[in-house]
Amino acid sequence: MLVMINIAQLWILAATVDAALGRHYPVLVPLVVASGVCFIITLSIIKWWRPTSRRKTSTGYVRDPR
Amino acid sequence: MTKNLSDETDVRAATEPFQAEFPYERDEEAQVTRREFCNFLGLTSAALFAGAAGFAAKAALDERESVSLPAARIDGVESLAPNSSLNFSYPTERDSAILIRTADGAYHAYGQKCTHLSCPVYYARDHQRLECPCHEGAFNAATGDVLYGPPPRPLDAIEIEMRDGQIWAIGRTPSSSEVGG
Repeated sequence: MLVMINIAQLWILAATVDAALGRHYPVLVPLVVASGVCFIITLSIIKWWRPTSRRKTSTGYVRDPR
Repeated sequence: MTKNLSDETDVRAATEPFQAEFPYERDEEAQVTRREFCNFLGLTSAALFAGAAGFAAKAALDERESVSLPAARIDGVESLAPNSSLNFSYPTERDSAILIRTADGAYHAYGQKCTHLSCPVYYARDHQRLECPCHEGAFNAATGDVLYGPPPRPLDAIEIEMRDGQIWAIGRTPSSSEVGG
């Protein structure tokens, strides 16, 4: 998921450079916002994601890692 | 006690010759933990975001910046026949430009860089238009607008002025309109 987000951000950066060099200013802000959203999603995943094997189930049982 | 970093228990024995020539420790493959890899991806994401924001900020600053360029006389205009062109540099020596005298005697000047990938455009007398040899783009000689091809916007226009029979370049206007947009 993180790799896919990075690839999307790379594409957004390429579009930003293209728009900046082409002086197509109206699309710059949406592109930067989109890149920022991707960054926030990345941070969220890194901060809160934990391996499934470490999560507690609803009954309080902790799964053993395989 | 050896810490087992690899999650593989049945590692194939290195029996082939090429495996003996390039041995490696299987456990070293797991030196980068999943968390470290995620952190690396996070840093990459931050760098990409900073890059996009930086390019956008630079473009916004360039748009606001209004530079007054010095006037410069274009040499050799007196010998320029109708339906021909003359290369010059403006505003610096590195900014190549082209002055065109159309068949009706009017003068027009443009930056010589094609707006597609910066190849130098030339004046095609037969078709009376500016053409880019790299990817077959063409521009209107009188307006600088794109006639066909991949260029996304018109050529940068150079403002010219007639002073005592001489032509002076007095400014440069970057084009910004998109084709079809």
